[in-house]
Amino acid sequence: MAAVAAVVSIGGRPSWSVRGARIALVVAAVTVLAWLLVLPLLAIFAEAFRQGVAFFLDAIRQPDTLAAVRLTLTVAAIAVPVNLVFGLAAAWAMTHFHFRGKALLGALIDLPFSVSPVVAGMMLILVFGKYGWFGSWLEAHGWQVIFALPGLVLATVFVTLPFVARELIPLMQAQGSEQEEAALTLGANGWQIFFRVTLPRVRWALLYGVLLCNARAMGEFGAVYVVSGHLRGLTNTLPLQVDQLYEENFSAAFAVASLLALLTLVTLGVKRVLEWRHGEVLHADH
Amino acid sequence: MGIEISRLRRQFGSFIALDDVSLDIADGEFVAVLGPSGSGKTSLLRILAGLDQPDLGSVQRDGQDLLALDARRRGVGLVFQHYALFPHMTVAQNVAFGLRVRPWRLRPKASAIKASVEALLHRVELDAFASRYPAQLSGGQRQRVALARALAIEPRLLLLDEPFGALDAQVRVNLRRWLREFHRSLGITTLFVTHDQDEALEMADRVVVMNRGRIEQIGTPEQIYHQPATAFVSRFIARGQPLPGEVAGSSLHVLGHAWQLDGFSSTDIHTVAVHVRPEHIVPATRHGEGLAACLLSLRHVAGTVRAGLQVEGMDEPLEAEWSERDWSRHSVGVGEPIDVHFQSLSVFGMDREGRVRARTDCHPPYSASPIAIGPWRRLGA
Amino acid sequence: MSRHVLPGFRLSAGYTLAVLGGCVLLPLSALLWTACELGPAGWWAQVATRRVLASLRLSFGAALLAASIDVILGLLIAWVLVRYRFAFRRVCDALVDLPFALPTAVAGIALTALYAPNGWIGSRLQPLGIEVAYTRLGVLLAMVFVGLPFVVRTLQPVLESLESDLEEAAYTLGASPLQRFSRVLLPLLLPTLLTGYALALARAIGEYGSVVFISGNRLFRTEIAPYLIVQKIDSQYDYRGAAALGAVMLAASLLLLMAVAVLQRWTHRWAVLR
Repeated sequence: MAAVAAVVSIGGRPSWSVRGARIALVVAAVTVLAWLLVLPLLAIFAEAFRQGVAFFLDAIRQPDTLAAVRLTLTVAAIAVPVNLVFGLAAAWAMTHFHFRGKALLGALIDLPFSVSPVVAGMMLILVFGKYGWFGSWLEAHGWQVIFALPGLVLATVFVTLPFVARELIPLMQAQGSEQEEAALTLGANGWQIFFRVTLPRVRWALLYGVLLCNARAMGEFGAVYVVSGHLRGLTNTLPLQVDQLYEENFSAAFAVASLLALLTLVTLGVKRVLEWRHGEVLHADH
Repeated sequence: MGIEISRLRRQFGSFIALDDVSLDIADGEFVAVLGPSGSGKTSLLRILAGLDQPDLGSVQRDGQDLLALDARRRGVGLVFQHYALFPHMTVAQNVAFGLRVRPWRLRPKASAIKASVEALLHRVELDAFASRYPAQLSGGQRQRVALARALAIEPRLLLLDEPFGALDAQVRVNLRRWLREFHRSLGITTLFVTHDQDEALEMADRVVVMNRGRIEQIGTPEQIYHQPATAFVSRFIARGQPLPGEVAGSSLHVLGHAWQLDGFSSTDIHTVAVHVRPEHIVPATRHGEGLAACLLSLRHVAGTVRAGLQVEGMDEPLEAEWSERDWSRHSVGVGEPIDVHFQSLSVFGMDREGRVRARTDCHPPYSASPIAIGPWRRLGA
Repeated sequence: MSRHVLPGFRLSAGYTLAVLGGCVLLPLSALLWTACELGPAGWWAQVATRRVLASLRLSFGAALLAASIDVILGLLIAWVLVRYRFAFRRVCDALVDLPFALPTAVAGIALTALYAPNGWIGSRLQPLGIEVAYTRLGVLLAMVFVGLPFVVRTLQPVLESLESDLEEAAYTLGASPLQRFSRVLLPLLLPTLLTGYALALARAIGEYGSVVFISGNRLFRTEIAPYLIVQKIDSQYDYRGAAALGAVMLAASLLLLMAVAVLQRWTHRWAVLR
């Protein structure tokens, strides 16, 4: 491995045994990464193009698949802005004020991270499903939440809820309230403070959070699986479409999966660029 | 009329930041609030700026209730300790901020904003830096930008939080003089908080000394320095050092010498504090006179000599300060005995709550004769 | 008199609470309500079946093991990425986020394709008698996959901020490399490792998409608890049974995370003043 030969020590000229240990560590780490992460990624694209480019294009041009793309984009287009505003509001409340129950609120914001997506979906069914709390009331008004778009959006919002807030809260905590207070003594009103002072300072972290939130929103499987009902062309998002195709047409499933993998790679690429360009204003601690 | 602060109280949990604080500030006055950290001076500043509300008390400006106005309508310019400049705006944008965020009816025209920003930057001598970002400025320059930004809204009261706290010693001294002149030319009512005695005494018209949320003394720098009202002020400002002392009738007994006490009524007095300043401990001209002591250390600092002395009968060493010229007449080495006089002592009598009831300075001549054993009314626990 | 000097408290706190209430608290209370409605006996009847117990054992057992493996692999990777400079270091660094950003279903079918008996790796392991796909080993592998970035990403900033002068100090005091690692670095990193462990654990317990494909969902053998919940809802319309199982999972993972938090506070005691 060429990578390993280029191992450079940080300080001083290390002894041969130390150099050897370092090379061994790098080899081990790179091997783990290649085996655990790179191989599955390669497998997706290999399987997607196994039967040729024509088959691939055909697979992703199926009406059901295109409908799934549309639905996925719609869900993300609703869920991501909701979480964007949620993240900003939660961070504003958590970092600029002292109030009772603040620690509890912080714990609640993080809670979706420790709830299984499947359980999250099930909880929504218990509330909005046919036999749930609001089931008969919703049915009487002709509204369908479960097995329809609102359910998909709710499930997606649930699992992606902490993403933006988690990026913003530590950063705004580290920045403190002083600049906002300065703006206040200079006569700015709340929105002026928010748009002219706070937002410009957290914009990159915000974008970062939105990016991760979006990736998760478009790729969510477990929570959405439970509430969707898998109606082909109607309530199948892209990951659900992958699941259904997997049973029927192995290569087509991978063709659709490769679209999602591509989205992931783009997300990671943009994320990297953000970190290189604006690393110092992204995170509070380094 | 100016500003009338009366009976402010602010408590954070069990910590009392401000305790019954009252203060009048005249128009155009330059007032320093001086105290150690945790003395409540920043709490006072934040309440005046509208960034905090007191539990009790009132602040009036020309008879108008200032506390009822929220921070953005108060017309109070605040310069933060670490300046709180907006890092994503240029110097000019920072200064213009307060004008640009006004409601559109009150907002000056863009050209007028530009003109006043230019005028302000000229005043603070930063004309050439208008398009720089705060990160590209030195500490002193940043402070002047913060000052210009606060002045842009034409405040009727200017507040400065530790204005020189974040600066190098050299820059600090220069900026002190500059700010003093700046205030004189501007005439705007200004209040600044600091923990640095020199800064407060050198710059302010009046000094407010605070400790543990209370005002210890309000006065001109001369009054504060020469007539400290409390033992705290004496220690904090004039470096007063406590001596063991007892009061009996109209005399004070310190280290075996009796001093005449004038104007000191000992009714209601529970404890007595006796302080001596470093410059009031002088070497005796002849051996065998005054108090026997041992010279512990000697340091030469900027034209003065600071000596550590172990005076007989005391546990703690005392510090004395003499001019280099006076000291040159003596030839005592470190570790050798030396006799010293106290030229003046400050005496504070406190009641049971620790409030100062009586204070006086006493001067020699004092009786150098050994104290006769007598029925001294021992004061103090 | 309001102490909130900056404006917008009501608006921001109101919106936060509204979204939290509608999306998190309301569903959560529905779950607790349904689980309570069952009563202890009904609840026990739902949970104490051989199938459910087997799935819970697998879910929690595999998740605990996977998170431990993640801590070891994650420490190795974070260490190498922070301390050494080598070609493609930045690419490796970027790759770490892959399991975090890759849709779980995609990861699931990719792992299955790799480790199936006819897959790239599966076909090479079969002659050795090692089966990964459709076994518990496959479940473990998928859980290790999804948990890895949590450990690496929690460790990296802490490793970066750890001054190398600590190690140099230990070096001048005569400590060997192994001693420097085990006596100086490891105790310092322990709280962070536990944070990473907790995050990886939480993710692994609840994980569905990455696991269900490679597990094969064999009765009593490789069924994970989330899969059983989906089964109960999807094909049996047994919402009460699903709620009972969901409540157990939720309670167990919250308890585990709390235990880790307590442990973490203890290992971090040197950072507490006084």
